[in-house]
Amino acid sequence: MREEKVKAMGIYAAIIGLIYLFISIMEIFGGIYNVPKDIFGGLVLLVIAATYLTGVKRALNGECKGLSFLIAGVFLSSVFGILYILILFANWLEYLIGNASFSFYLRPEIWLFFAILPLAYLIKKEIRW
Amino acid sequence: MIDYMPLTFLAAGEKGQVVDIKGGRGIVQRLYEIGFVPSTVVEVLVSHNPGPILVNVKGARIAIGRGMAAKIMVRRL
Amino acid sequence: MTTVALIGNPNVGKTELFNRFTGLKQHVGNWPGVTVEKKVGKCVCKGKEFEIIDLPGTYSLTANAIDELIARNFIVEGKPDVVVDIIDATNLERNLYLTLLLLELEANVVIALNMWDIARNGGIEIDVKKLEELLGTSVIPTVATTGEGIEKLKDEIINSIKKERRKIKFGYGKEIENKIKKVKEIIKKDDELAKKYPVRWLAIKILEGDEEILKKLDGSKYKNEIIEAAKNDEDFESVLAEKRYDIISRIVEEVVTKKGKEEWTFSDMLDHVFLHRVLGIPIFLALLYAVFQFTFSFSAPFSDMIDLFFGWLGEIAKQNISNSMLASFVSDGVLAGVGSVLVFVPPIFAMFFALALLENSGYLARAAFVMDRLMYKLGLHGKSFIPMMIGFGCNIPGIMAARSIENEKDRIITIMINPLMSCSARLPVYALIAGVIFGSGYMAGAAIFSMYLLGIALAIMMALIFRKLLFKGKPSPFVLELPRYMFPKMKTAMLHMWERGKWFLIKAGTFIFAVVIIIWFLSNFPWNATNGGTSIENSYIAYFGHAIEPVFKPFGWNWQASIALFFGFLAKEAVVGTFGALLGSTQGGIMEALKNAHWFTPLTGFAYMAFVLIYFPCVATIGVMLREMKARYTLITVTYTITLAFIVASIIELIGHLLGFS
Ligand SMILES: Nc1nc2c(ncn2[C@@H]2O[C@H](COP(=O)(O)OP(=O)(O)O)[C@@H](O)[C@H]2O)c(=O)[nH]1
Ligand SMILES: [Mg+2]
Repeated sequence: MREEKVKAMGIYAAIIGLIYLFISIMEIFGGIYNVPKDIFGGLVLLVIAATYLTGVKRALNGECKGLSFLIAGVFLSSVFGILYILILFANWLEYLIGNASFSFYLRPEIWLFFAILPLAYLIKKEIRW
Repeated sequence: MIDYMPLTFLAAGEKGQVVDIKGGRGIVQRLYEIGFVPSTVVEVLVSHNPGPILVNVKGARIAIGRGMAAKIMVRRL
Repeated sequence: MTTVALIGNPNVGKTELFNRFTGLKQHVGNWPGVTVEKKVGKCVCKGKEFEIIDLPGTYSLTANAIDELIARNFIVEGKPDVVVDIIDATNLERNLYLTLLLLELEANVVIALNMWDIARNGGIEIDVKKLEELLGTSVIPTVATTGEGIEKLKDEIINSIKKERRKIKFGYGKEIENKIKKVKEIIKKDDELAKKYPVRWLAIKILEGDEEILKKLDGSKYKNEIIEAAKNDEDFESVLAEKRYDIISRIVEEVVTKKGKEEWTFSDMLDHVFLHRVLGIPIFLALLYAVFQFTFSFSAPFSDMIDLFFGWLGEIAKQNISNSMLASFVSDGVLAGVGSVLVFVPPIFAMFFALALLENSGYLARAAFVMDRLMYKLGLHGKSFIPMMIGFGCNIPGIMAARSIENEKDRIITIMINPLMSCSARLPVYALIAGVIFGSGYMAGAAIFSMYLLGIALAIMMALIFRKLLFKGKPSPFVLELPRYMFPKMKTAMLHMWERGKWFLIKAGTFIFAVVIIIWFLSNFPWNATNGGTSIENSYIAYFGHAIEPVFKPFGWNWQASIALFFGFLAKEAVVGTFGALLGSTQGGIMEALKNAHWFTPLTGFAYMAFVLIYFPCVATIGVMLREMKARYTLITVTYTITLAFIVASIIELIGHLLGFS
């Protein structure tokens, strides 16, 4: 039963990891679709992608160790998701005081953060804190 | 036959029992205080060569440099 | 007054408990050695006043380490009425070692069994009654973070002063006991010694060959006799340590029951990744990047609000003060100058907040671990990394944190390279110049981030050089306990931020204020020649600026930028204050004004940022350096930073020109 769950999480992580990888490349090279060119930001996404993907193989084998990469991945996704939400909020404040224009642009890190929440929930149910 | 080896020979996940500590008085004392006393069972958590190793000693995570770890003799369990 | 000393291993929650007791807020951190200095607070409970002393976190009480010696001497010589030994309930086996030593010292011990919540949730059951019985002291379960059990602990402290404690002797076996007895007999002959120290403890320490204690025998008639009796060829310290752990494991066996089989804990899992061979360092860099983005981007609107506010005040002052000299003093001098520094309160506080989160979550110690591999190769020490990280906040606490490095050579190298860590006082300069040359957005953020990386790279390079030239040999061995991961508490992080950040406000109110007034005076006088400050070219500061300009001319920096560097000697944020005063109060703030002045091109501006990073440790940092190491090393530090600044700025401009930037 438990092994099944770990495998399911592995599949989820594989998909998430690949999306991170894809967007990372878009950010590093920039300008594709409406993803901004942000080399450092892109490298960060690459690290997150690597974290998820390192865990995938082991998670698919049902190993507990694989789960640790997913936990770390969820942690990193949350850090950057929350960071860019805060920055979005800051940009809005900037607009309120009349310093800059504001467009409600959700950086990929933000919606990816929401996309990993189900995984976070599954993990939280699975492990003892 | 010698059945013990330096702690650095254990891979991550392996456990060993401390047999002896080689080295000067200062180092021995320091290691004793943090729990590396003979017959203690320790577990290597992380060990990447080069770099320090992380050991579970008496319930605490202790990071020690490789050079120092090489002075701790353990029997692999 | 009743004195109560707090003692415990590192990371058991001693600081947290100290704050609970005293309400006196202080730094809460995770690396061993942060409370090297003696901290004292007061607490009134049940109508009684107590003096609470926070002793350094230690594992043991030998004379080998300064922290341990401080703690031991305080207990032996200071004779506190009560010693509260804080132990981590999840790890009795390790923590009881110190407890045994304290009992051996015959201190009046009360035990706070902290982290009770974690033990409870983790299925660790501890028979407190039994533990009390075995140790002969009171044991109170506590949760320092929520305050659970604190009242009971206070009651017990009061009780223990009156109560005669039941003494329990922990026997070390016949052979050793005989030796102890022999030495004891002789010590007892010397009344003075016997009155001053617990006799059994003294005998044990003499047998262990403790140098500090042997010194205490000087002046005793029986010195030679005692030493003769204590002669042995065994390594007593090690034998006794072993015996003590034996005693402990018997106690633990009796009082602790663990439910459920041991599983991989959450900390094990995270460590598996954060300390990963390949991923460890990239993850660390990513988190560092998050800290800087948070510092810079998130705080921006708050800075702008302050900027607007001071600009608005300046306008009001100008319009309403009829005396033109006074109006200029208030708006161009005081408001523009102080405002331009206060603008950086938000990023500085943000940086300290983010660092506090990293630290309190337990991650910072992991950063030391992953960096040790690299650091060792570079002739440094994993532990050097923590002072470097704190140096990002401010070099002064960074240099003080180096005290946790036992080896002197390692410590001096760590201190000497600390000024290369971009402290938050440099952030205002980076932020201003990067904003001017790159506008707002990710590019400016990247430019600032690159300054931090440059600082690290140079620090590593200098460490290598120092290791080769000044301190030959290898770094000393690395030992560090990694605390368990915790969800950082908002309140703790805020406190931490405030504790470390308030110096900036104080500096802005005093030091910077004075500098700003001086600059205003120099740039507006002689009043008639400058036409009331409108033609700065005729002012004193211009003379002075032109005098030093030739030195910086090759870099493309004008006299204003040069004079700002001069004031930056005092404190780096004074560079910004100087620009503020030189440009006067203008609509849209200092950044707009500097942009419109066209003093910097992207290349000269970038080189200027690097120069500000390197060129001199601020005056306050030099003060701390003089205190922490020999004057010779401080002199070397000052010399190398100045030299390095010129070299690096030249290289940047040279390469920039070759790449076609201007
Ligand atoms: N869950 C829990 N956490 C605690 C407790 N006491 C302290 N902590 C946390 O443990 C960490 C280390 O505490 P600190 O006071 O800095 O330890 P010190 O090194 O002994 O001064 C901090 O993050 C505290 O918030 C406790 O009783 N329960
Ligand atoms: Mg502390």
